[in-house]
Amino acid sequence: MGAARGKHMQTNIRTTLPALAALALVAFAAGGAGNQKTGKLKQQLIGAWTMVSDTVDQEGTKVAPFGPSPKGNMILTSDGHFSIVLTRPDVPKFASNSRTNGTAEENKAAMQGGIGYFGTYTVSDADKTVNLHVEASTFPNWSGTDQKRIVALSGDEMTVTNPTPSIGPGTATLVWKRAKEARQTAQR
Amino acid sequence: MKTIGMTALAALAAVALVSFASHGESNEKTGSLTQRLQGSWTMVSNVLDQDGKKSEPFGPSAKGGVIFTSNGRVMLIITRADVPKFASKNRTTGTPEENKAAVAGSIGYFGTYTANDADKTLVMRVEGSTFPNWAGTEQKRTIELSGDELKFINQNPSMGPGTVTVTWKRVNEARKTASTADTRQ
Repeated sequence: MGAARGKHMQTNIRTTLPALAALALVAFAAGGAGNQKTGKLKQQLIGAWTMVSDTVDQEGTKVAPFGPSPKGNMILTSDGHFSIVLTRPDVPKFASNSRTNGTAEENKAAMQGGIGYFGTYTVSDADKTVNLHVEASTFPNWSGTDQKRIVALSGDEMTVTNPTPSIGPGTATLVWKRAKEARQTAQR
Repeated sequence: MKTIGMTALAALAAVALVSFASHGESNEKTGSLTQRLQGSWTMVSNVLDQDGKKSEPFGPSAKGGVIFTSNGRVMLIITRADVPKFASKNRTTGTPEENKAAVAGSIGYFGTYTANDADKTLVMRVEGSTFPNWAGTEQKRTIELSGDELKFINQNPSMGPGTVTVTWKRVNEARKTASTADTRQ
């Protein structure tokens, strides 16, 4: 009886071992693909984006807070980090060439013509929103806040709507284009 | 018999874990400097040395992040933690003091980058910056990369003469953190 039981056990182990090993592999593969399960929208957002336009509608009056040719970039990483910098290209350079020694006018133009913020983000497929958890910002009032944006994707273009812009009342609409491969551009 | 089976199982599971963990980290250990830079980094310290006199231009609890993408783009933001919030809550209507504190206490820029393995340098071609003088410039840094720690050495800091050393730590991917937790169990 003891021998029979031993043989039975051996068979069990032979079949169970590979099965368990396979299970372990599958579990890890699933873990690796976990990001894809977090949402279809997030997968489409991941990457580097170049700002095309930024328009704020203040009760029907439309303004371009970063001028007619704004320069901006946004990076959304697969591991949930984001970074955004928006600038006006026509902000006057500081005569002192030192960031800490701007005149009142230079500082004002730089503040009005630029913003940067970074942190982590989450995406909701259901209501097509991105929630930016701002770790820090060059505009101090945004540090530690959550910035919620409504996003709409069409091919390589993304439209982001912000109901609470940093320039006061109104609704900002930012249009982004997927950034070209920097290396490919350089090689051409 | 039961014990042997369990041991074999545990060994196999361990092998599976190790192979997956090493696969995920291969870029960090063996790739080119450009490959090893890719990812998100959080700032640990930022120290200015002016003729031996050391200071922290962004204060003791400065916050910073830099991201290097696989397609050659970079974005960096550094801020003091203690910049006063604007009373008007509006970025365009700060007082002269609020504007000064915010501009002197932060910087953000983006563009493209290349890293050179031979002389351990990083060149960032700045397309846009909250500090207008840096827009359109090339920012060169000597870099030291060891494990998950990265140092930028900048001979031309944005606040004037001196040498700035910025220390960054790699932000662990959520996925990697999860696998690490699994290994411990």
